[in-house]
Amino acid sequence: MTYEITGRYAMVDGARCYYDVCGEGIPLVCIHMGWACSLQWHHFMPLMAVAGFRVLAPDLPGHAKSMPVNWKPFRKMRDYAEWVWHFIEATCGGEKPVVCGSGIGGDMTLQLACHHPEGIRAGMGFECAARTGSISFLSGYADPHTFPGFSALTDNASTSAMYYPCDPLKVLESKWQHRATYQETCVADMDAWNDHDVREHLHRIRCPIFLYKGEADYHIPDQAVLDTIAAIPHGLAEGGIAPGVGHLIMMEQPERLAEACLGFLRRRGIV
Amino acid sequence: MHFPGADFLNALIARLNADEAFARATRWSDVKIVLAFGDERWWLKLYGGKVIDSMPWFPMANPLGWDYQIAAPLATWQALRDGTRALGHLLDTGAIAVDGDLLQANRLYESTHLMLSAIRDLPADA
Repeated sequence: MTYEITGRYAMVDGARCYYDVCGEGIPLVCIHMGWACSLQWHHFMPLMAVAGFRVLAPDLPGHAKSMPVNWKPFRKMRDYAEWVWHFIEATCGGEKPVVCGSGIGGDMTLQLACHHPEGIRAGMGFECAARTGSISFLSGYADPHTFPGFSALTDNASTSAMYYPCDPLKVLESKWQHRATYQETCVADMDAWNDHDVREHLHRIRCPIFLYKGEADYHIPDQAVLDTIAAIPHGLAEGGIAPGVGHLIMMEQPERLAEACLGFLRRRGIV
Repeated sequence: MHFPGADFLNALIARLNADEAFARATRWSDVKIVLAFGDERWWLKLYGGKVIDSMPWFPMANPLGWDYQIAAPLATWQALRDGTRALGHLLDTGAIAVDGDLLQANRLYESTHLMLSAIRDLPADA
C-alpha cells in the first residue's frame, strides 16, 4: 500500500500555515529543523503512515508556505512551542498526538513535554537537548544587506553536519530543503535555538521521551543529549547517539529512524 | 611538503585555480585576504574567479593592505586537516575566525568554504 502526502492549510494564531499530511491513525506531528520546512519529512512520513499514524508536518511560521504570526518571526523557543501546541489543537481533532522534531523542532518537542505534560502521548526529539545553542554569531545578520552571501551560508550549514560519505543527491536535496526560508527567519531560528533551556522544567514531563542524535552532528554535544535523557525523571526517557548518521537523520536514513522510533513506541505501549 | 609553508600555499592556489566551483564563487571578487596559519601568514589577491597573486604577509609590510583575514592557531588547522574537527563547526564557532571587512567576506562566503575545504583535503605530499 502506498501512502500519498497531500498538502493542507490551517489558520493558527491568526496566520495561515501550510502542512503536509499522510496516512490515518494516531496523530504524529513532525516539526522541522531551523531554516528548513516540511519537505524534510517527506521520506519519513510514509514509513510512519504504514505503521498506523496520521503524520502531519507543518511549515513553521515564516518558513516556506506558512506566514509569520503578526508578520514577525519567533525568536523564543517557548513561543515556537506554543504555536505548535495551537497547531495541534487546530489539526488533531482533540486527539493526543505523538510529537517528533529535529533541531529546533526537537527543542519544541521537549518544550511541549515540559509545558503541556498531559497533552502529548510521547515525544521524540532528534538533534536536541534540554539546553541548546551552538551558533551565536548570527543575530546581527537578519537583513539581507548585512550578509549578501547568506544563501551560501545556508547551503553549507545545512549539509556540513551530515555524515560523510553521503549520497551526493541527498546533499543536494538537503540544500533545496533549506532554500525556501527568508534570511530574517533563519536568524530568528538561531536566536530561538540559543534561547532554549528547559533544564528546570524536565521534572514536569509525564510522557515517554525518545532522544536520538547522529554522531556526526556537531551542532550539539553528545553529552548534552545523554545528560537530558538522564535528567528526565521516572525512567521516561531513552535514546542515545546513532553511529553513521549526522544532523539530518530523517532524510539521511529515514528507514533507520522510523525503525528506531517504532521500536521506542512499541516498548512504551503507544503502538 | 611542509604544512603550512610556501609549497603548501602554492599547491593550494593551484588547486583553487583549477576548481570550477571556486571560479564561480569568486567570479566577481576583487579582494585581498590574509590567510593566517598560526604565526605564518599569507596574503592572497582574489580577482575575477582566481587567486591572481600571493606573498608572505607581515604587519605593515604590504602597502596594499587587506580586506579580511581567515585565521586560526596552527593546532586548529591541524584539527581540520586530520578530520578531528568539522569544517562547519570550526567556522560556526569562530575557531577559524574570519575578520575585517565582513561585508566582503560574507558576500564571498562560499569561496571561504571552498578554500577551507581545499586546505583540509590537500594531501601533505601534493
